[in-house]
Amino acid sequence: MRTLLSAALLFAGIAHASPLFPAPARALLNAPLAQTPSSDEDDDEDDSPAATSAPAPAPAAPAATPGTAPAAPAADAPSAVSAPAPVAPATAPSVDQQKLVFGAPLYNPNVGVHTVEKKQFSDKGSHELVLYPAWVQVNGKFTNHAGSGITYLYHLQENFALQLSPIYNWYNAESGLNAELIDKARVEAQAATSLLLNWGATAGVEVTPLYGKFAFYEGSLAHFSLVISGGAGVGGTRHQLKPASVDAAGVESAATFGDTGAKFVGQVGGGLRVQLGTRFTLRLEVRDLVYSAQVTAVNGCSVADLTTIKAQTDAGRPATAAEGKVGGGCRISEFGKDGADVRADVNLARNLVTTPSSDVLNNVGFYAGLGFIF
Amino acid sequence: MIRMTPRTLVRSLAAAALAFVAPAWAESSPARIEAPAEDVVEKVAVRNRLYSVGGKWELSPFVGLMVQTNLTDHYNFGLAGAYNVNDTIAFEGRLAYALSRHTGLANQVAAQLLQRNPASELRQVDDFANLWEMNANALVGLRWQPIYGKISLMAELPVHFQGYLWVGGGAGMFHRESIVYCQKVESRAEGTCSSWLQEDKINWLGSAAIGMRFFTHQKGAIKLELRNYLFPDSYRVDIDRTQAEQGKSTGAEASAGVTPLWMFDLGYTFFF
Repeated sequence: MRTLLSAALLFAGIAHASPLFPAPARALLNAPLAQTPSSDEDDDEDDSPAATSAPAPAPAAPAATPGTAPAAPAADAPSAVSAPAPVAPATAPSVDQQKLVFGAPLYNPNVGVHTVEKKQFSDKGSHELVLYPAWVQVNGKFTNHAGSGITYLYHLQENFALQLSPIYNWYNAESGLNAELIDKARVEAQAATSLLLNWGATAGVEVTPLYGKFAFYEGSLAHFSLVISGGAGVGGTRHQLKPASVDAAGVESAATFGDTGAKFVGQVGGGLRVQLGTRFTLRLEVRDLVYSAQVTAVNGCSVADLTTIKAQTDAGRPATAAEGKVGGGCRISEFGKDGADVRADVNLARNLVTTPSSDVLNNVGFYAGLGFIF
Repeated sequence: MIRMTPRTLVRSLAAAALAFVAPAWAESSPARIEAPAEDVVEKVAVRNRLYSVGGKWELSPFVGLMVQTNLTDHYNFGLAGAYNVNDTIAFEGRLAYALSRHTGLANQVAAQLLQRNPASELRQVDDFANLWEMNANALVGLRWQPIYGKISLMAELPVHFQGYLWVGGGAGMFHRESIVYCQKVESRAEGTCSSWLQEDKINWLGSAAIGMRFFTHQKGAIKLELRNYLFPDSYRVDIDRTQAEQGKSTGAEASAGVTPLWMFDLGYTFFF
């Protein structure tokens, strides 16, 4: 009998410690539990619509709100106003629902919780190296680009970083549309609008004004931030002289290009930076490389230089016969590389610069990269 | 009456002590926090969706703008209706009409080509690819929306969103106006034609999209998506411009793969 009494006292004590409904939060969760917002505009960010379908613990009975007419529960209305006055629950909460985390029943879907969270990953003072294995131009009307790049960032502050971004475009050529224009209508884009970017390097800043998180199928969670970047730098450009072609015998000849010099490059961009663990990031960005395009010389040769070279080739002499008669920066040997027709290339280059055109090109690309934080 | 012997007293006191200690032990026991606490806060904060769309119907007016215009330009206006089977799967039907036109580049090419007299140059030409313009279009598709998340605007306003992929197909009405095949020259010098070859057809249409929708309240969300339309392309080759300008039929039909249209769609979804 005494043993039974002792056991009863013991179980009573434990039962007191674990009531059917969990006790209100004590720590970290500083807002009232089982809060029932007056409307869905009251956006406590973690309310579950399901929270309204079952009665909440007594401290926040919605029916007691003065001046609020009891609303009929609507099947599709998840707002808390549809919760009836406290009645006995139809089913007892599961063991999971009774678990307390920081003193709060976070597993209980019937409880709305305000959370004040610290950011899990701090960027301040860290370095980040991002490898972009491939980026592709997405606005290629007259040009197509694809390349690779690296970005180094030093996070001065949590939301502000300095960045350095070199890229190399292993594919840069005129688009199919430009080829079609040449082939079918004997017209082509102006030199300045079809300038190709061979490489580029920009320095600038990156800010992260937005921070968020998402769940994939309510399982995996990921933190992400919106990044916006801007910078300026320099890029090497070239222009296609002769398109690739196939002659009647089926022999292919590659396209030829002329160097059009280094240009000022500006860069703006934005995208998502998804945190993968503590060390890695996944970046999906769109960047616009803006560069001034004015073609006044090809391979360092001006109109006058090219006219001089043309005179030599028209006379049946090699282009190099013009050495000494052209400006010091004119690289005659660059024409006709890899077996290309020097005379044709010189004529095409001269046509490009005879009527100089200027434009500001927007090279918008999609960049996917993987970053390492150290 | 129960007699209290010293032994009984000790047992009773022990039981009472246990009874009082038990609550404190129960509340502070690490065993009650099985998962890392931060993880649980994280999961619950996102998992408990403020906006659940499962089982709901929705209606979305939208407008689509071309991301990149080459020879044609489109402004697509439409209405989409969908049923969300659950929070991650929805079936959607879309009806739209696209206002379309040639771009300045296409008009410029047409004029420059027409200024060249076929009697002396470019007598035989091929027409251009990707000149079909989409007008009325209807699609049905499946939307997979496995991502639910939230962002904090200005550190104060939490905005909940869904990310989704869309794939489907349907049919569309297409119109094509040649920029090579002029049936009646109006002015050679100015490069104007009073009767370009016009063609119409109804054909299949495929579409895929990636997008996000940001919930504004329980009954609505702003929808942003990047959508691709694909439809079969065709054009005439070996057009004799001299014969064409005399109103005679010339050239042969050739298939040219598919025409992709990339559009940025902006819409608003009403849930009900």
